[in-house]
Amino acid sequence: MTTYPTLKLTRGVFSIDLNDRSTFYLRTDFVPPETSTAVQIAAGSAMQMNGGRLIGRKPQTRTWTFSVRVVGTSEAGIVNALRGVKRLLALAGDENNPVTLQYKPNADTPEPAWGQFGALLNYEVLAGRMTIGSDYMRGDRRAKAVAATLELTIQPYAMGKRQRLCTATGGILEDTLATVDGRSRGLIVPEATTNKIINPIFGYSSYDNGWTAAAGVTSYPNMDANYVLFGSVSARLVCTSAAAFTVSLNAGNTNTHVLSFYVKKPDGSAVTNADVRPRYNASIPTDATYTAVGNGWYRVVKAFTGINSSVVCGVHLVSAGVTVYVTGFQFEEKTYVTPLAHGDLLGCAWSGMAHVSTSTRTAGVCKISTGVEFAANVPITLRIAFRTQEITATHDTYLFDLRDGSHTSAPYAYIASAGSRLSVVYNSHLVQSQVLTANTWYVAHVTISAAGTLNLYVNSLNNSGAIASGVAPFGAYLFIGSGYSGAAQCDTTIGGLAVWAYDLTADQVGADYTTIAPLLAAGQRVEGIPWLWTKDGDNLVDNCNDSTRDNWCVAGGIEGSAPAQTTISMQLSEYMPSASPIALSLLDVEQFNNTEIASLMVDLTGTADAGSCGGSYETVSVGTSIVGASEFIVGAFKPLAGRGFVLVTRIKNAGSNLLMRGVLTIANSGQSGDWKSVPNNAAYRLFYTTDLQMPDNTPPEFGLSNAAKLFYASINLKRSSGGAANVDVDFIQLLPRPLALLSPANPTTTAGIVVSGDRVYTLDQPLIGVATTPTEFLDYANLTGDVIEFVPGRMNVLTSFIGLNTSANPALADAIYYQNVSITPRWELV
Amino acid sequence: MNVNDLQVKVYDGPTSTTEVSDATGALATARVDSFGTCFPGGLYTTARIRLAQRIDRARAVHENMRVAIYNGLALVWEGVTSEIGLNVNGDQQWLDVACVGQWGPQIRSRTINKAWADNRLSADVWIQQPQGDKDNQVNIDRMNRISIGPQAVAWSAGEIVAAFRYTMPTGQTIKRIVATLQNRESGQNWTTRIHDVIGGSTLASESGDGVSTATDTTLATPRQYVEFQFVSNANQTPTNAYGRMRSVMVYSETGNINPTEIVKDIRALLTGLNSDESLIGSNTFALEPFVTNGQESIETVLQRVAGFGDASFNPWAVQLLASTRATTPDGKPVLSFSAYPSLTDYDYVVTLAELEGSVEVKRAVDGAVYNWIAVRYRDELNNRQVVITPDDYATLKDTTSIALWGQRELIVDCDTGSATTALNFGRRVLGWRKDAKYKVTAPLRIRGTIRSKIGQRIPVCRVASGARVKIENFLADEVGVTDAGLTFVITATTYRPDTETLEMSTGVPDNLAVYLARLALVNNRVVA
Repeated sequence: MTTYPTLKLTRGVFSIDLNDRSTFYLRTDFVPPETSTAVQIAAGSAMQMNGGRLIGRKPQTRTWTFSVRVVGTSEAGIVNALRGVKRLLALAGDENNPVTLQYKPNADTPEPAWGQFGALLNYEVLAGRMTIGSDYMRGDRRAKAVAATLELTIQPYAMGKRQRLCTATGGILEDTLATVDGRSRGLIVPEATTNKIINPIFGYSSYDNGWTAAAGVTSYPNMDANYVLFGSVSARLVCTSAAAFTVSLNAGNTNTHVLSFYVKKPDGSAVTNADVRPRYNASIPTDATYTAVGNGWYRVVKAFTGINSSVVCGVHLVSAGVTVYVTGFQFEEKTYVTPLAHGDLLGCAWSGMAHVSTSTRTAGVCKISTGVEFAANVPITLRIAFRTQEITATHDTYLFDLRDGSHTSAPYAYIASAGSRLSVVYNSHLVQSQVLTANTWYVAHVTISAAGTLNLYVNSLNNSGAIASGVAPFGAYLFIGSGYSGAAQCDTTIGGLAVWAYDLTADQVGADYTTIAPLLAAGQRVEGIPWLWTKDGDNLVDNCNDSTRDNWCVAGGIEGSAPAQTTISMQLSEYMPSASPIALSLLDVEQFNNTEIASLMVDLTGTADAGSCGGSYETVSVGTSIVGASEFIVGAFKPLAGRGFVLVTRIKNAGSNLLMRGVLTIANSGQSGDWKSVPNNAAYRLFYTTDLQMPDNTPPEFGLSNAAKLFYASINLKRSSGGAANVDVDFIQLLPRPLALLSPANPTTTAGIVVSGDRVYTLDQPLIGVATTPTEFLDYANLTGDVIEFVPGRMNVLTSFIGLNTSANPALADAIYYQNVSITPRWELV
Repeated sequence: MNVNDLQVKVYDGPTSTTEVSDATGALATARVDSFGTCFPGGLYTTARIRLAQRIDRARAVHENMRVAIYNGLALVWEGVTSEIGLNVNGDQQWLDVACVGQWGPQIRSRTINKAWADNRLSADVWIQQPQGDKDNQVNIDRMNRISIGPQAVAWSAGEIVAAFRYTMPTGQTIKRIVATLQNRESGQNWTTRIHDVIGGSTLASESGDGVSTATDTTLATPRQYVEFQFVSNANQTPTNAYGRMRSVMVYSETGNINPTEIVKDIRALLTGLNSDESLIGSNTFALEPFVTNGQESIETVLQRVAGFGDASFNPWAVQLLASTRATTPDGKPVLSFSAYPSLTDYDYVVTLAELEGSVEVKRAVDGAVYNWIAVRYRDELNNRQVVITPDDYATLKDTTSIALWGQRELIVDCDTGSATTALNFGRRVLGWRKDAKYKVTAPLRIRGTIRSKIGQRIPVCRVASGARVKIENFLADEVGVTDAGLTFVITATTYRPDTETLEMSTGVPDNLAVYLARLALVNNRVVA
């Protein structure tokens, strides 16, 4: 900290700097307040011996008192300053134009246009009063300096910077690997790869399927979370004599491949080649790279020449007495290692059955549009924190890129494969950093002035000096972690990126670096890069979930310590009368898992039909007796524990008087929802059941395995009267709470809708495909259910349906275009 | 998101589905003070909502608007705004919105005058029609019948000796008549008949001499009134002639008259109810006769219907359920009619450790156990009060209970009925009162969540009366039901959002015909 705190009272474009060091000086009683939270505890009766149980938390408005010293040269000047503050406080409480107190512990830099680190914390003021100190009349203080105490009533949270989410796709990751506190180190935008090892994280039902422990090594399944890195199981290997634990694979060619895996010793001490070594065919090299990744875990990496036939591949335990936990094996056709890919990760897929086939990862892409979030031209400053790779790739790897096919002179930054320098090119001018050390955190500031003066600071050091580069226009997107063509991914962790719409001075960069440096030293993220992942990277989701369509997307990189204020602006493929209500369901999970997400639905089969999800549907003959459609195992029940949910089903009904309800079966007992009518419909309709509830005590907490198989969900059908007739059931999908149903107050021919908290509005917009600026308010709309707000530090799986009404025939290709999704982080302290 | 988070929605009419615009933002910050449910009746009792806003500004919420309180997508309370208080107190100003469940506006405030099955023969029901000068030359008696005997004067052909008119209330029609007609002419030519005087046709008749004929006539064209007549078919002076009508039942419906049909008829009469009848259970206990007491409250009609129970002497209950329970929701509540839930199963479980505050479980005999039941009813055939006792029907007492607790007698009244229906009423009361049962003397209080039977933690705001709760600490059969342990029917709930606390009154109501959203229940009156 080299600068004074920033504290401003603002309303709209007007503000008063309460620590301008000229008229106002902040006094030392200023302490950012903690969120006041009312906690509900169920204490029970005198027979309750285990203490209370938390049943609810409610953030509350609170008071905040601090004082400033008001300095002047005349009584009139001081009075005028006090009156200015009072004037703004008198306007507090207007939701449409709130008065906020903006605070930042330093004044290192102005607030970034896009980014969280260095952004002001905003405390919304509902009411405020100010009193003058009792020494007002002492001497001539009233003309020179008086103490003024502000007593503010403020909303519960300190709000961060409103930030639009990046558009993302492919195998992007939040780097939480082996973190002790679970916090992400940053975003990884990896390149495409194929992991040729099957069952690489021991996630198959028999954990060691495909693996062989040679004589001298015994393997055990481990579910102790302290020694699990991916999924819920790792392999515990106990060595009585040197031997290997391997899987058979055929590299398919003789190109260079890299074998990597993760190892942890029971005591968390360093793993070396005296403990384990990579094993490929008969080769057990001693010169592998052993890199600590955190919490006692090490990644072992070694390149081999591929063998075009089936040979063993895995880990060799060096001597008797060695006990290790291993997981995360990868064998990829590269000359350098990339982050682990397995089929359950986002943007990855199993080539066949989950965990018994190879895994592929599509290249990660993460980009944020320019022009709206920040100006697509100079002056500009980009700040990026990153960690260099363990092994430098054989090609340039990009940290950011503002180019596109029409703007090839826009700035971009990459780590050169030759020389390991951060290189920035703008308008054909190159600046380079000092040589960077492998596996080390850095922060770079790239500044370009309005006149086109380019500076590159790495850890505040400007290696190239100022370069007059001239001016060139930018592309439509800022690509983060890759080049603009979606290639040359940096494969490493990006600990934050921020953009200013002007060029920071060297002093500002220096102050900023001084503040950031301790975070880099500790390997901690500077700021989250919020992103919204869709399958195709176009912010579009479909209206069903099968091999070619997703009705879900994922948001990550969310900052804050409470669910972020989330604004979702959508453009639809159907106009409101057909599209509403729109269901949005949010499932936040610690680790994203394709298999778990897929297990939240059943895509029914029986009759081939191109108009059905997955290309088929199941036909059920329904009379007045209760019959069920095929049930499905709710595999993700642990993340669902304690949550309510509904089942959405797509149905054709050939008869009359059809009733439907949801059913959750747990072993031999069950829970049923209420019957709801399903009209006679020759074409498909989407219906949802009344809600059901998952138990909140999950068997795995007690070390039980495979308990997920006990949970089944499906729908029941019957006719209240009349003869039997067929019902074609396309799919059944589980939507957990929080779950919101959005409907316009007056359905009109518009396809735009925006939801923020519990407020919903329709926008005057045409259907998807017609570009518009979604700013024109049309009407109020309604939200029934829960507020949808992204949870910080979690993978937020947002699932949707449009057209949940009895008259629309929602096509599978119907879509929601998330045209603008933004978050404002909520902080509970500072 | 807290599990008991609530969302208040207000619609622009008592059964509307159009939400009002929350222009002032008051609904977004609405504070629900409490809401409740009761069983039987209700389901929803009252809710009190506080809207913080300037009271001199336009407001979105007015009286007689539908209010729905949601927990997620689940509707946990529904009713209408009944009164709105504009409050200023010190530096605070707010609207107090008092709401009542739909039972009030849709059931309690409505009346009906209808005779489903009417066997009355009294002079105010079958009203003699003036025939002119000869009105005093006819002998009439109503000894469980209407008998017309012409005096020995000359009667001309086609002359109506006497006529008695049965008239349905306006809007109702006679659709079926069952009666036994007896004609006596002693060699002359007379006819005893039930006549459609509007259509000018004979519905049923007997012209034989001394012949009794049981008739059952469904009117091709339902009429508001018909007449029982005795007609001379010739110019003649009677020696011994008469026409009689007995065992009469006049129907305003053609189907069987049983509790289910009566409840469905009421459902159809009330346009404020959803047309869904899937929650009206099948109870085919023959409920004849059944008439309203003139223009009678629909609430009391439903009470009486439910009070007869079913043919197996189980108690039944009428409720208005949430509009979302309809198979095709339209904002209107759904009428439900079903047997009391069996205590052999349960919906929620608690332990004494989970309950907040004091819990007292008490079993009483005096004033609680009755094993010898006398039933009083009004027999309209002979226009008298009748009492049946176990001396008449042994099934009105329980010897096991008498041996255990001594003979404890109770007199109950089932209003208008027959010996058959009165006996059923009495046996149903006996079934529920013959055993000593535990009851809780104050509401059970639980915060946050309650466990369902299969282990889920359900937000307590979702718990409604009519469900069953089992206190797991008790292994014995404490409620007289095998393997039930200590299981209660929840008869009233009050949920208080500020503490996320649910108060449950439990037990079996004393008066099985207590059906309404009575404040007594809302205020945690102990029922057992």
